[in-house]
Amino acid sequence: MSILDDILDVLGIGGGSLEHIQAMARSVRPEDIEAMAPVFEHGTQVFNTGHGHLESAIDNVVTGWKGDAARAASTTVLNGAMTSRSSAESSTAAASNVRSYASQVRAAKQQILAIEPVDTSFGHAVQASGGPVAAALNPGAVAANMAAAQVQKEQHREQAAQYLSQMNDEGEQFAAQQSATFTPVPPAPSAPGDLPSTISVHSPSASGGGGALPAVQGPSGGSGGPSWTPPRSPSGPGSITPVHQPYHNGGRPQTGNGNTTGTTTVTPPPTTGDTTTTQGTNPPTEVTPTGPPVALPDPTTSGSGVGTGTAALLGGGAAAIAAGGVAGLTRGGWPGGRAFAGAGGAGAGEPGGLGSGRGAGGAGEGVAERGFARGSGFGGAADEVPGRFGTGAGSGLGGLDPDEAALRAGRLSAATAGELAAGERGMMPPMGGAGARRSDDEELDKRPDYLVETDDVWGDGRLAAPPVLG
Amino acid sequence: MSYEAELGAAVGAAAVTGNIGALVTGIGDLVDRVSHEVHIATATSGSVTADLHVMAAFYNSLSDLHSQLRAKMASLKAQALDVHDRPAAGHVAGVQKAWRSIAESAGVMQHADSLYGNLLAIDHWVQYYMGAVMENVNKYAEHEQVTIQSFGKASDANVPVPTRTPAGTSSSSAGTGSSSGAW
Repeated sequence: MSILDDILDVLGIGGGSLEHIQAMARSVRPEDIEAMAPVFEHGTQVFNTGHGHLESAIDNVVTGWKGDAARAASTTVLNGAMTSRSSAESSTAAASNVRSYASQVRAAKQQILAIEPVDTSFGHAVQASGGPVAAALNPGAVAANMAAAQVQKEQHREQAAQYLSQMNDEGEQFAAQQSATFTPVPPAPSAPGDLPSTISVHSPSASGGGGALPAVQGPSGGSGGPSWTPPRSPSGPGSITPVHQPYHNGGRPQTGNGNTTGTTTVTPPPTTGDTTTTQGTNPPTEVTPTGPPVALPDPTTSGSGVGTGTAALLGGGAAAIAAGGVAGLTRGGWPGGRAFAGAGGAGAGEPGGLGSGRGAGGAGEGVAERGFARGSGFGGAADEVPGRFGTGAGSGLGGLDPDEAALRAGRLSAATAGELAAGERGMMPPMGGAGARRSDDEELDKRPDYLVETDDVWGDGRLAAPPVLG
Repeated sequence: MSYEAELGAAVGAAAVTGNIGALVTGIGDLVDRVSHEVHIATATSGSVTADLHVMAAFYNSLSDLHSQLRAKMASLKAQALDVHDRPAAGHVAGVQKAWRSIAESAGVMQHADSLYGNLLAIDHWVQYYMGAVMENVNKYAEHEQVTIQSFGKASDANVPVPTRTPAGTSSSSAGTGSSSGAW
């Protein structure tokens, strides 16, 4: 038995003829093998899509979400993207390997099929010997031709078998290579099975302000906000230059205080130093308690002299009501507390009350935490020269933002402040609204003395006449 | 060791060994240990709510990817099975072995070391990310006292994936990730 027979036995075609080998070769369809390559190429696209999708999501996370959890999430998801990328490369390699292997199979098949069969018949040998006459004259030539044909046939069969063996071996090698193309991705920890398809953040303060929020009892025992009557402003009109906040607002868009429609605008970067400017350098020497209705100050104009004392009187003693009313407002109305701060300063402008002066100090202190340096100064002045309160009050009015709107509105009335705050907030994006609410919570935490001062000053039962809004 | 240091160590070790699996698993463990309250406690005004919106968008993006992956997995599996039904290997033992290997690497038997298996594993990671983000969202929302509205179910994306029964007849399953390969 020859080596070829051993090979053919291994292939399961022991004793197979060239025709048998060629039939086996014909059964192999490299075009169908190659048809699997697009599957892997499709897989490559899917993996790359996943990679790009995850990277895009990470970009959004990096630019938005902050903190350790954000970093961990982005890092982890980035590795998921890397894994997807790695799988894409594996899939690309698999597609390439399949195409390459299909080419090998196709080539081997063509080689096998290209081998011509050898005719070993007597007739062919006779014809090869020159015909029947020549064969009759030289029968040895016929026998030699027949033997040569047998040898050639065996050679052809051997050649085909080698090609077939090569095809078989390549298949074995490719199988081992292909099985190692993809490596298992470690299984992820089990995820909750009840995950929603999509989620959205629903911020109560960003819902358009339609629903009433629960009331919070004010520290001074004031009545609830909704039932509170806006105080009448005793002061005349004026124009106040807005105060730019020197503090960082967390990226929230700010609301210009001169726009009663609550349009959201981008505020210039905060300036350093004393950013407070008070229009009207001549404090009035006389305060008119029954001035015209107070209009929302226009920050774009620099009217003649809001008297500092006048500004101080905006809201006036009505701040006492504001204290209770504002405190009685809801969470959304808490900026009214800021309004009260301003109003407190205003009340201090009245030529009287030491208590008012202390109230102004409290207000100034509260505002100062938000960066209104002037507020602090005016608080100090309150104890000494009531006439200076106007300056302080003026400086405290320059707020921007919903909080500032409330502060500004506090000069009008605490109720108006609540309305303005709610209105402007309604125009704000949800994040801004909620952000303002959070800052209000921080105020509650950071400024308890603010409220204590409120009780000290306005807890004596004094009430001022409610203003009328123009 | 700080979180950053641990994270760096995990990444470094995985980079040296080239073991992506170890990297993913290691970082996943670290993520589990991240305290959400740390960020919430140090957050500036409004930033937590802003984070919530980013996280919600992040979650929805992951959910969208999950849906895409599931759909692609089903179509890929069907495509692979369709091709694999062809008698491409003929009667040559080596070619048959190669053809079987090709089919398995494509995932007709849902082995982990296959195209389909990798896709399935990545999809599971995406779902794990979704779960982690959802946990963060819930923590933040609880802190901010905002409502998280949910729509649909992520599992709805688990479209039936065609499989093979031992008899060779086609069937379909939900593709739960089992690599038992009922094929």
